[in-house]
Amino acid sequence: MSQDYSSRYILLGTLFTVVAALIFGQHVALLLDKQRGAILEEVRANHLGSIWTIHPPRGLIFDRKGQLLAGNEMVYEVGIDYRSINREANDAHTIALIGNVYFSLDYNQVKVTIENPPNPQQVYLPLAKGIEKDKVDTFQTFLKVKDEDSRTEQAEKARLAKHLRGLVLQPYMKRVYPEPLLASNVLGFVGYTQQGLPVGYFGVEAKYNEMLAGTPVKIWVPNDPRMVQDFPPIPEGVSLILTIDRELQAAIEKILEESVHKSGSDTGVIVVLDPKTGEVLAMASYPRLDISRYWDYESLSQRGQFVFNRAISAMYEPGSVFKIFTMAGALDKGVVTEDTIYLDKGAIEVGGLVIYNWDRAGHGKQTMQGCMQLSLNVCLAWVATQLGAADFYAYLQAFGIGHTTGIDLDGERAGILKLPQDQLWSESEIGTNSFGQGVSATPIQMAAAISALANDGKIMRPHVVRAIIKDGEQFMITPSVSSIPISAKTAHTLTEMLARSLEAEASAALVDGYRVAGKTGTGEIAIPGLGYTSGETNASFAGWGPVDDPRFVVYIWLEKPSTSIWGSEVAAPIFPKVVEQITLLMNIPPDRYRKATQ
Amino acid sequence: MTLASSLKKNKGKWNMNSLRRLTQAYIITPWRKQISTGMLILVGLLVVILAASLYLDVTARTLALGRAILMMENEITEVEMLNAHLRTQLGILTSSAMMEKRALEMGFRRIEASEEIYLVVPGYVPLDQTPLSSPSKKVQSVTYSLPPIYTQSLVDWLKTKLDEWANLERGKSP
Repeated sequence: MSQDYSSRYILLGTLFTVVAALIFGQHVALLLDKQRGAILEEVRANHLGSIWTIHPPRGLIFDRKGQLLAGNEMVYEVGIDYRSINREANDAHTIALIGNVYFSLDYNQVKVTIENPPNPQQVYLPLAKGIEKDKVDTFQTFLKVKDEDSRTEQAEKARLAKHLRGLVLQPYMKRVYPEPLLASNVLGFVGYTQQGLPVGYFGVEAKYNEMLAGTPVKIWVPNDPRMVQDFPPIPEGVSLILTIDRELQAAIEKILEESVHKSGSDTGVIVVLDPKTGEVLAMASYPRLDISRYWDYESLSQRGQFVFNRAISAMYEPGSVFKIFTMAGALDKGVVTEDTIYLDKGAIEVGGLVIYNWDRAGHGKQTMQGCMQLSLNVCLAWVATQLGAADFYAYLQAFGIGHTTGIDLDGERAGILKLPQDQLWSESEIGTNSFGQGVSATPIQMAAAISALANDGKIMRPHVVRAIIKDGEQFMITPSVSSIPISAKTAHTLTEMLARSLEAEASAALVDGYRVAGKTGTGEIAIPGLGYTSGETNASFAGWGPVDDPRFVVYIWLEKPSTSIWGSEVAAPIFPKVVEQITLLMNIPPDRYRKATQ
Repeated sequence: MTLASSLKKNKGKWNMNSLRRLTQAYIITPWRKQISTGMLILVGLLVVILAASLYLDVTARTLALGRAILMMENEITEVEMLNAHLRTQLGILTSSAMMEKRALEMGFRRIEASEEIYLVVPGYVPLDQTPLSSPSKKVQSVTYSLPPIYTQSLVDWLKTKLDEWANLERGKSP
């Protein structure tokens, strides 16, 4: 062996040794890497299969009679699979053309997107979401080779299909409302997060979001088809049956909209409750949002004034309707009886503040019924002082004023009730609060509180979900008592007083065939810093019936009516219209028929 | 000397020598040895081909079934979506506004309260519930729909069978 060969062997050996040492060194480095385990596990998992997250279809929402209020619709996401695009074959043109013709996409934008992916590693890019099923069906029908097609047509379709391999049509479920304006304030809407996940906003969609959405299930799908298993059952989201009656809701919304326009009001609310269960039979709020265009909410709310559901989120000074609570507390405490006489001189001083009647006149000797019938501020302020601050506010709190009712809707507000222990409270508050000024409440609070008079002194927690359907089984919601502010006797007495008041004044709120009780309210609207100088009012009416066996409580509020400022002139006439619909649709026969069966 | 010349020389009579020669001739014939070896190799090859074909067939069928399951799962998902879609379409067709429109087109009109007629039926209590769900529809527990034999390799299958056999030998049930 010559010397030349031995040097070459040494060189080669050294080279191999160095390479081996490098490989060994790399192995040692990898072995010492702390993240090695996780990385290897990820590589292994990616190699073996992938994890699919399956979101169950969102639960449905029905009205109390089983009519669909919110469902799911099949729509498509149109996207590009860059791996299947053949640039030389001009696939971009074909896909852009089809996208434009069938899915109304912008031809140039699609073509440019296909030809210039956002990054070279881009595998898939969504072009558009929410494409209607009808459009996709039309496209697929067009592309399908039919027996009656000529050979040229068949060849052309085959050629087209080849160019469209990069076009992906991915179906998914989208929330849809058969009537997007109906009960929109109760339902809320479903928007999407940046990750594309549906989330409920407002109403029951938000309150019951987690139940409706169900639990997403992660499934490991192996790449090896030999290891494929059946997908586990994916439980659907919980469906809800509401207390709302669709027909009644539609009728009430129509009445409210007409009344708001007729009275020249800014906004309006009508709430209909079943006092015995607390079920909300109808809840109309005007203006309302078309929830199929929920993205309008942002621009509407930025303009101010727009509140998604005024029945639970808008607070206002209710005015004389509030006198019901003052009188109820006083009767319940025994401070006055319905026959107690009060000499009304037209003014009274409470805590240094002189309070006048709405007409600034004195009405002489009045019974408590007269005070309620004539809606005398002076008389009620006197009643409140007789009751005393401690008891007066204790009763108001028992009626739920200053607290949320706990209704199962998202966005409820508590209202404002200043208490004697609060710094901002002054003694004059007891006088103004007695007739519903200086205190604010939401319509649902007022309706719930007044329902105590229609339900033997008990307030049932107002709710809009009547039953839930989970795993194919239906569970009814049991009504619960929220509070018992007054005795049954007081409730009956005051109901009778208010029924007689309506009859005595031949109120526009009277209903043919049904004996009802009720109270009007006109609350002045304060201007911050200037007091009650706007001349604008909140007109309200609270009514319930039939008096001997109340089945409904109706609360009406019109904000800033312009044809008349008085609740008795703009809000009270709405009541019989609402009751007519309630009795027709909820099968409540007139008193004479009902009494005939008893 | 060939066998024929040996027999000719001995005038057609067999002896031990001729028999030995005959046996030896057959035993050591090279072409027979080659044929024998070749046949053995062929038989071995055939067995391997048979096993490979069987394995390929089972694997191919398993793969096809696995693929079919995936496709059917996708189909189930799509059909469920379609059902939900159709249910919503039905909801839209029977919506309050649509029903009112259709009723008006058919000549009906909304009645006034004064036109309502009530019939007193003693003892009648109207149903106040909305049963929307089927009674006790329990979620079925689903496990493998394919027996293990479809998901095992031939080696796995043989191993399982051997384990079963071994357990049986030890007096255990398979």
